[in-house]
This record gives sequence, structure tokens and C-alpha cells, in this order.
Amino acid sequence: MDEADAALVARAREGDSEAFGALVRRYLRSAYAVALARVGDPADAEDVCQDAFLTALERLESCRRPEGFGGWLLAIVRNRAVDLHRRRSVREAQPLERADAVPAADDPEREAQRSERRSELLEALRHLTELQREVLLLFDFEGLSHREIAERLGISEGSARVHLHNGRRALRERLGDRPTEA
Amino acid sequence: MKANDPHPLQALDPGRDPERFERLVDGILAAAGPELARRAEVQAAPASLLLGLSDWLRPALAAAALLAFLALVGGGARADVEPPPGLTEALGYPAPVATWVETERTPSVEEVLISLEGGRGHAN
Repeated sequence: MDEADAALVARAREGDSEAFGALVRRYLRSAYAVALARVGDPADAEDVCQDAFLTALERLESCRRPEGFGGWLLAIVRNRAVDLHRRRSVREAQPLERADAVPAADDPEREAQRSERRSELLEALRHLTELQREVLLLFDFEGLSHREIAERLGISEGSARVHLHNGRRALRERLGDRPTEA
Repeated sequence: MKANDPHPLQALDPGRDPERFERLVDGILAAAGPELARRAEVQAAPASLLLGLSDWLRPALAAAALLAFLALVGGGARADVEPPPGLTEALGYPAPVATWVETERTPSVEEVLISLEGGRGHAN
């Protein structure tokens, strides 16, 4: 059975790298989903995730509800994404071409198709609201329920349901009948 | 799969590529190393402080025991010593006079005469 968040947080506070690693593995996909929803670029989303986990580690004592570590972490992810966006806005915004942060696969042609597909998805996501993107990515990445998504994002379950429905519809309109997976 | 795929965004999920996922995790853990080490050090600090105190505890207890022993021995020795003489005895008055002064008792005439004679005798 997986160790509870509160126990892992308690151990991580004492500098237990194994416990912190377990928290990272447990919440990295959610963190990445929220980060990607905010910054729109996979490489930037990775940077935001790393920054957010480090910030969380440094501020673990301020996590008043260790059992709700996931929601607390995602709030940090959002803040770090906003910070990154501010820094980016000073310079020129990075285009979505950086979506190919993933190492090349053995089959270049297949990888090229996947890369193109990821770019299309990211482009379609840009036309959704931030909250719709967050809800959709959490739903698709981790298969979370409406209630779980609501808890992690600090919104009501009904709101999560509405944003998922509207976001899904908008995404389908954007993607049309094209294949969604290479 | 078509656009009605219930989870089209899975293509963006870093968890679908285990190698990439582990690379992300390793990157985060590597960056977190110094902070984790600092926390582990802080956690270990109170224990080492107690160990340091325990090093001093035995000598301190031994010294305290020695002082207590010396105090007891010294106190016992002083208990055997005669109390210091009173003021009247120190001035050379006869013992009865000193007793009257100390007890604040008024002597009779006979006692005074006897004392005076004794005092002369004592003085001579």
C-alpha cells in the first residue's frame, strides 16, 4: 500500500530523499498538467515543475495540511508558472516549436508524426481557458474524477464538471476529425 | 484513434514515456539534493548536541559529588569546634557576670559580692 502523503511529507521535512522522491513521482504528472496548461510549452512546463517542487520542499513547514499536499503543490505550480510567464513576457514569448523537448525515438518518422500531433494538441489547447486546460489535462493524464480534480484545483466539483465538458467540446471543435494520436 | 477519443491529451502526458518521466524526476531530485541534505543535517543536530552534553555530564556529576563530600566532611569538623567566646568573656569579666549579662538576670547583692571577691581572686 502506498504511504500516505502526510507521512511522506513528515519524512521529507527531515531530509528523507526517498520520501521526497515518492512525492515527486506521485504528483509530477499533475504538476506538469497544470504547468503546461499555464505556460503552454512542454520545456517551460518542466522548468516550472522543477521550480515548484523545489519551492515546495523549501516551504514544507508551511504546508498546514500535509494530507492535502497535492492541492498545495499545484497552487505553487500555478504561482511559479505566473512568475515564468512574467519573465517570458519581458523577453519574446517562446513559440510552441519547443514542444519537441522529448528525446528523439528510434523511428524518426514516427517520432516526427508524434511531435506534429503534440504541436497540434498544444495549439488547440491555447484556445481554451486556463481552467479548462487544467481540468482537461488532469483528467486525461491521470484519469482523476471530478471530485479529485476539484480538490486539487480548489474549485467546486460542479465547476470541474462544467469546465471539463466545455473544454472537451472546444477541443474537439479545434481538432475536428483529425486523428488525436500518432 | 479519432477526435472522439475520451483522452486525446494523453499524447502530452510525460508519464507515457518512462524514460522522460524518470529524467524529470532525476532532475528534480538532483536539484533538491542540497536542501534535502541541509534538512537531514538540521535533523541530526539535536542528537549530536545531546551527545556533546552527555560527554560533559559525567565529569560534571563527579565534580558535584566531590564538592558535596567535601562540604559534608568540612561541616562535620566544624561541629566539633567549641563555639566562640561571648563578648563579656572576651573582655575578661568573671563567668557569673557574663552569665547575668547573657541571661539579662539581675544578680542579688550577695552574688555581686561573691563575684567581686572571686573576680579579685581570679584577677590576682
